[in-house]
Amino acid sequence: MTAATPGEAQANAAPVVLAADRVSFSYGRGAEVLHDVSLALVPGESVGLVGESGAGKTSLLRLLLGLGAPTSGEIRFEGHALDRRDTRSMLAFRRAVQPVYQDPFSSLDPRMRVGDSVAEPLRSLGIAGGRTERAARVTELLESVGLPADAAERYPDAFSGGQRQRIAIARALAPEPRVILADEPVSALDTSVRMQVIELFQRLARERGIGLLLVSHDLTIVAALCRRIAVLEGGIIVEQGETRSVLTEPRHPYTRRLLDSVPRLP
Amino acid sequence: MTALLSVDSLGVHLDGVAGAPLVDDVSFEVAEGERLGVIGESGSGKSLTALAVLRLLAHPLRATGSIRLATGEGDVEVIGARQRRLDGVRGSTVGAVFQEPLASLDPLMRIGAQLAWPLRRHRGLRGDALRRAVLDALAEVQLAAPERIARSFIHEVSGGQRQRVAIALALAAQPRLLIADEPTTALDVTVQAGVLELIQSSVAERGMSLVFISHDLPVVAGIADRVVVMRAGRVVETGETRQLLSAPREGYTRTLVAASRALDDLLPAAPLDGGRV
Repeated sequence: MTAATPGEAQANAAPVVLAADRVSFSYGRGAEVLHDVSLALVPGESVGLVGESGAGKTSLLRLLLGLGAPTSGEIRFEGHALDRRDTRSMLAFRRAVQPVYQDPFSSLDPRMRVGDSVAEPLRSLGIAGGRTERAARVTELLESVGLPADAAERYPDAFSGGQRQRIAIARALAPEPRVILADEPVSALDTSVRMQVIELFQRLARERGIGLLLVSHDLTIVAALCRRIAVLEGGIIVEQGETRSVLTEPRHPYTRRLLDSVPRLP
Repeated sequence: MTALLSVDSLGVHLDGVAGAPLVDDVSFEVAEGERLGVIGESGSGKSLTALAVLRLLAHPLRATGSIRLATGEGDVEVIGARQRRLDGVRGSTVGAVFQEPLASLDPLMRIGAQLAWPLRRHRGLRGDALRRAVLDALAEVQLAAPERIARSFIHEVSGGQRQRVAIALALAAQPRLLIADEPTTALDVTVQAGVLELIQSSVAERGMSLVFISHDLPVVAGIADRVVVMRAGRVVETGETRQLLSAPREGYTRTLVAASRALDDLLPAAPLDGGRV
C-alpha cells in the first residue's frame, strides 16, 4: 500500500455524511439478508458496492435511503442515527440523499414533462418557491447534465436511454444533495453511452463535492468511477478498500472469482 | 467450406408503416462449424435478424430477401418455405437460445417433460431410453442433480440453471446451428462465465455452427471466429474477430472498439493468478 496522498487524507478527514454502522437486516422473520455491514460515504468520494443477484445490494440501498429500518445496527446521517419517525430530520435527510435508478424508462413518469419531473423534488421537499425561480433552476440543472434547456418542455418518450438517465440525474441533483445513491445507473445503457454517463457522474462528484454510492454488478464501472470498493456476497461485505488495490490484489476468493469472470478483450 | 446458413439481402419491414426497413440489405454466411458473432447496440436489428432466420417474425413484421439453410435433405429457403418444411428444420437444423429463458420455457410443465418433447419427436426415444436421455441432456449442460431438476418447475430453479435448461432444450434435437441471442445478458457475471463456457464446449464437441448475438464486444470476441457489426438495421462491417479488434475499418466499429477497450483497460491487465507479487 502506498501512503495516502494529501487528497486522500483530506477525504478521510471529511465528515461522514451517510453511513451504515454494523447493519443487519432480514425481511420479516426470514433469514438475514445483510449481516454486520458497515459502510461510510463522505462528500466528494465515490464508493462502489459490488455484488451479484441476492447479495443484498438493493436491501442495503433501501436502508440507506431510509425506506426501511435495520434489524440491528443503525443508519447514521450526519452523525446521528436515522429516526424515520422524526419528520423534520427526515426532510433534511431526503434533501441530502438522492437516488438514481437503473431503468430510466420506469423511473420517469411518462405523463410528466421533463421539466416537471426535474422540479418535482424542489416542490415535494419544500425548496425553491416561485414558478420562475423553479424554471430557471430546471434549465440550469438540465444544462449541467448536458441537455438543452428546451428538453424541459418535452416528455420522456422523446429521449434515448442515455438522455433519460441524464434527466434522472438532473432530478437527483435538484435539491443539492450531499450524497447520491445510484443503483446500476448505466447497466441498461449501450456501451458507447455508458462511458458518457460515467464521465458525467465523475464530473458532478468532482465539481459539486457529492458523495456517490454506486451499486453495480459490473466491476468495470466501479473501477471507472470509484476510489473505494466494497464487495458484498451473501449479505456480508467480504472485502472493502481502495479500488485499485482491491482489483490488483484481491484478498478474498470471491473478489478474485468476480474479477476472473469479467469477459475481457483479447 | 460450405455455408450452412446464407443470408442474402435480408430486409425486415414493418407492414403498414412507411419509412426505412428495420433491417436493410443484410448479408452474411455461416460455414459448417464456424462461430459467427453479431454485435450491435439497441435497435441495430440483430435480434430481428435472428428471428428472421428462425422465421419467428410475426405480422406486421415481414422478411424479404433470402435465407438459405443447408439441411440433410437439400437447401431450404426459409423465407416462403411451407410450414411443414420448417418444422423439419427448426430443432434439427437450427436451435435457439434467447436472453430470457422464462420466455422459452413452459411454466406449467416440469423441466423433464419439456425436455422429453423434442427428444421423443426428433430422436424417436420412448420409455426408459427417453428418461435416460432427459437426464443425460441435463447432465450435459452441467446441471448437478439432474433427477431433481427434471422433476422441478422452471420457477423452482435459478436464472443460470434456467438458461442451462434452455440450452439443453435447444440442443435436444441435435441441431447443426445454434442461434444464441444475448444468452447471458440477464445473468450474473460469475454465472455468465459458466454459461459461456458451456456454449463454447457444446459447440466444439458437436462440431456445430454458432451465431452468437450480443451487445457486449468482449463476450462476442471471446466466442466468435468472425464478427458482423450491425447498426440501425445494416451491416457496418464484417471481419475476423482479431482483425476487427486490432484494425477496425469503419468509424462506428472504431468507436465501439475504443469504448470497449477503454472499459477493459480499467481492470488490471495481468491474469489474476499472477497478480500477487
